[in-house]
Amino acid sequence: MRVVTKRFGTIEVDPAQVLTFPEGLIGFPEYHEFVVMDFEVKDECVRWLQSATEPELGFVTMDPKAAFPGYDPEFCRKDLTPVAVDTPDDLVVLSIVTVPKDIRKMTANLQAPLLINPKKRVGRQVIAASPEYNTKHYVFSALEGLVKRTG
Amino acid sequence: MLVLTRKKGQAIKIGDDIVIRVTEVKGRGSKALVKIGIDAPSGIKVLREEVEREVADEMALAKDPTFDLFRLKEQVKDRPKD
Repeated sequence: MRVVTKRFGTIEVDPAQVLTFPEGLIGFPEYHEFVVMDFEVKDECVRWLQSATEPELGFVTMDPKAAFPGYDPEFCRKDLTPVAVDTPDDLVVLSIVTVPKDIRKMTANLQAPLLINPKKRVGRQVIAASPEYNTKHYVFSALEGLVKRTG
Repeated sequence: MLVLTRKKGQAIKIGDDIVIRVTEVKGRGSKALVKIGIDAPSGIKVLREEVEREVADEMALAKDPTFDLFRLKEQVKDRPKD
């Protein structure tokens, strides 16, 4: 199938790669079908999330553990049911990233990650019950902290 | 709306398994703060009321950014490997 994007033009997508978000994203409840570009590529920590139906609805996402290795949000059980996986390692967690003009100031939203069951290809954006996470965690200062710690 | 008055340490039960307890009261007037402890089963979502609005606002900011995705990838890739 073809997906029209504002950012990358028209891209060809295997329909089997489309992720369904039955409730949409928070603030965008009317869009249910998304494609994560390079979803299958391991070790890719920054990926583009694109609405399959709205060219202008795209987000930068990242694997939160790449910058925040201790990230361990808690969720209420009801929120997890739609994306329930057999083993916790199967669950894919992506954080939405906000990139301002100065990209060194980009932030990851650790409070409301996307939880994706890659087998069922179902996703849900869930607000973490853990009070220590908010919508703006600086990514580069976290990365620099990691560099310092590892030498 | 049911309105109840509670002192520090006192609680309210909702159903059989939800307890809401006032754990701290400080300040006066418009600066008054109340700390509340909540015990609820893991299936019950407990959120500050404004959180969903904050997340929706952040999503609107994050949407459709204009920057060089590939340059960004390179910068983030320079992270240390574990």
